[in-house]
Amino acid sequence: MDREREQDRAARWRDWMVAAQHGDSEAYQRLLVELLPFVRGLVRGRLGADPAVEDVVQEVLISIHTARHTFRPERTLAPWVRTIARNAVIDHARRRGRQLARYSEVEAEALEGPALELPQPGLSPRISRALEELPHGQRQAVVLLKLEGLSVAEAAARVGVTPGALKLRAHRGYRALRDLLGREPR
Amino acid sequence: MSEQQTKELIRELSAELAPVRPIPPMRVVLVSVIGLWLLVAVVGLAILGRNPGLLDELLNWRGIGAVFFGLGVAGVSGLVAAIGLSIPGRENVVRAGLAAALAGMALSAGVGTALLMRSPVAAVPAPWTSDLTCLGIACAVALLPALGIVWFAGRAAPFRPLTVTLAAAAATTALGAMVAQAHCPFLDMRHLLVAHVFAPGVGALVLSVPLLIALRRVGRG
Repeated sequence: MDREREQDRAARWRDWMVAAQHGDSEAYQRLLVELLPFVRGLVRGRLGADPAVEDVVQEVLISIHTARHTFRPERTLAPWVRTIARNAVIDHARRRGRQLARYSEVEAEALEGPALELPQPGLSPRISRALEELPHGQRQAVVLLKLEGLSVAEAAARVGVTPGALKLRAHRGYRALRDLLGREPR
Repeated sequence: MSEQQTKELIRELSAELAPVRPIPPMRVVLVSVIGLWLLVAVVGLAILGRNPGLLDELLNWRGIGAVFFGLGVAGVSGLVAAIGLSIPGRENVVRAGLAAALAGMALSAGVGTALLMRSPVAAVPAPWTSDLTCLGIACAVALLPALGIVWFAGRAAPFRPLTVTLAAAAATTALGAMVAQAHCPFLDMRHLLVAHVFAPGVGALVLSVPLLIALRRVGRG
């Protein structure tokens, strides 16, 4: 019985995807709605209770959309979706690794000095709060340079100021962060 | 992000849906790439000339036949893996292709080493320039079929582009090494090992980065 249901589902998904490849948006919406719990299950199975699960689910849906031409009608859809979900989870893990490295860098700059302890991995609530207290321009400079990893020139172009002005804002931002973190109880 | 936003995303994706043409079946891509290789091989051998003693060597020196066969298995299986790497859901084919390619290389390298140990000094030793010539032929023959794979990958969905180009470069250079062997007049086991059996490794080193650049351009276009 289960096997029959499985076969029905596989045939239904395949038909909908083939219709979607021909531009049938109704079939496509039905397919994505029906795929959603399947995708969510796959992502949760790999990420557990990670709060980013829904972000990754959305990335999987976007990847399904952009790669829909790589599905061949003679094949079943589930393994195709499974691979896309797995790749999205791997991408997420890589991005997170890079972000953690950048967050640690911000903490190191903010906490530098002999009296302060070494940075912890991840952006702690203390740092987040301190960042929120910075004036807008300084916060923007720190976030663009250290969290988003832009070069000074790129960040300056994004903000619309000269590189020198951006460096000055970032420098003031780091100093203000140090002051804020120094006076805040840990 | 909330589940509500996910539902909105589904509505947006459905609303912007445009018809697409599915990629060709894998076997069609494989046959096309092998066809490109055959074309280059025939033209190349017509220009460079074929080793007149090839058939004799393959029939009488079973070891050389095994090296030739191993390169062929590595080449075709590597092509399967390289093509499969760009198609979601074809991991089993990729794994099988890689396993068969490694087995082919192991056969070639094992037999090549055994032949070298049995006759370390050739009657007519191949000069080192002939090593470069054969490696150059293998890489040159590899280029067009490798670009065929890159063209396909750019239109499919390669998750790890560098792995695709490494596999494509190594596989097509293995096939290129067969052409080099069909042309090469030297019956020198050192040369056989260095310039024919190791050619896929050299091809992967030399060609994978240019192919990666080409893949990025094709992907953007």
